[in-house]
Amino acid sequence: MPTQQEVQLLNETLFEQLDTPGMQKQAIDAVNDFTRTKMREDGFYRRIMPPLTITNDELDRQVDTDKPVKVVDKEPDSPAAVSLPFATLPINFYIRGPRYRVMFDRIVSPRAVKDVDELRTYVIDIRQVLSDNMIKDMLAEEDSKFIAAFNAVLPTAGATNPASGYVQYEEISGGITRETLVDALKVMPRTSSHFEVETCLVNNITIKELLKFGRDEMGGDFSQDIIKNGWAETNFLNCRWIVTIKRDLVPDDSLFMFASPKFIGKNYELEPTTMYIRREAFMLEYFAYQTQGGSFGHTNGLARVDFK
Amino acid sequence: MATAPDLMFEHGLDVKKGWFDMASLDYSAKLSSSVSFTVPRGRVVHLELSGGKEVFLPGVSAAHMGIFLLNGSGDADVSNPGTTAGGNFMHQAISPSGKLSGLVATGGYEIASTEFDSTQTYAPGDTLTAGTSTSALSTGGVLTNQSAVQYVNAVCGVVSSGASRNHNGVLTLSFWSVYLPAGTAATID
Repeated sequence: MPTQQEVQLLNETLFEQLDTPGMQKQAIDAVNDFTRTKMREDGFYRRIMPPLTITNDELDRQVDTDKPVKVVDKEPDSPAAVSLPFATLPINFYIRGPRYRVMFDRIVSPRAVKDVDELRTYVIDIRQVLSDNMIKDMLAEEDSKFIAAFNAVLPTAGATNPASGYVQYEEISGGITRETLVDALKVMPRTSSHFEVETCLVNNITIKELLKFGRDEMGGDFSQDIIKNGWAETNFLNCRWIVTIKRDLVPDDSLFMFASPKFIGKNYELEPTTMYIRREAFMLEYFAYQTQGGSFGHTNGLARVDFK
Repeated sequence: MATAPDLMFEHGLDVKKGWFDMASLDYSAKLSSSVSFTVPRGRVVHLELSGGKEVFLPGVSAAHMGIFLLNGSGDADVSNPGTTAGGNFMHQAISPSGKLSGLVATGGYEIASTEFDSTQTYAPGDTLTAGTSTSALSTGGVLTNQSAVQYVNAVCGVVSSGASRNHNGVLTLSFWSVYLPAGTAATID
């Protein structure tokens, strides 16, 4: 935690950089370093589907738009092998590999504006406070889009996912117990893809149900640790557990499950989170923006259970 | 049968004056699910609340502010449909989010739009309105000087230089953005 003197020095350094022609880039970099760190720590979309950096020459040009598009190949299905008697030839199948398009849009934070002389009077690092809020807004938007897409794939409990032909969103009665958790982990592997759950996403209320597990349910000292210290992100049931406070996206008593990202789709980052800063006379303005594109290319690696 | 290709300048806005600037007045929202056609760039929309959320609907009426779309609902930065015409799954887009963006009619712009009724004759000073159909591609959000009487119909523009072919060979209508809500002439008198 920087002292007040250090904070004032930081603010003065920023002003000096903004005052010097050609130094705006350095000022931006100073904020970017902080921004990127927070991004990695906070957004569950990025932790479930880590962003892949994509460059201009990796984009696929289209004739009807100059907007960025990336075409991604999918593993093709193939007819099953069969047993045949002698003197019989196999059937033909023509090779066609499915593809899908990933398209991009931009997420921007609100633009902060301030008279620099008013900014000088702060003894807190006001830039960090505002940057935190901007990043939280952007992370919420990212996560919101991610969950909206998930819900579009699996909108209703008990309904068959038309893409896979399997029910991947179930309701399980009996609350959250060792038995029901293990039953939940069976939903995804039941599809024809046989994926195992790699990541579990729950909210900070749901996870507290696990604190109730006794030694016989949780397994020895682990039960003691979590009742003593609370839940810390850890591997449990051979899955990585992510706990979010975004209860509007991940409801109470719901468990969202994801296979390895390579089985789910792509999350491309065309423009990393960037802080635009401009000072014109005594007015300072800044906002953050990023360009990102993502799609679920295959939905068998998604599953959800609501515990009743 | 393959679908006809689309030139990226066939539909859209050229903003001759007043844009781009950081202070430009624009607005973003998703298209209402009640709109059954793919809305091209340049169409006029207005804002309404649907289920507590702001959505765009074509045209202008009553006191709904006109907004000139910079993006079409089928643009690559707006939508990325992943289900085939036959109902088969291709992908489910996480982005883009479905939001369109447009210039608000009270902003100070001179706009050349491809989305106007080219069967009409336009003269400088003609007032413009736009149809509100949610199902007719030919009229929904299309600019026209028909039934565009100030203080009676909602007006979203005044013709500047009129209709002409632009440098891409596409017919466009040049106008200034203004806004007058609809009313009744009798009550205003």
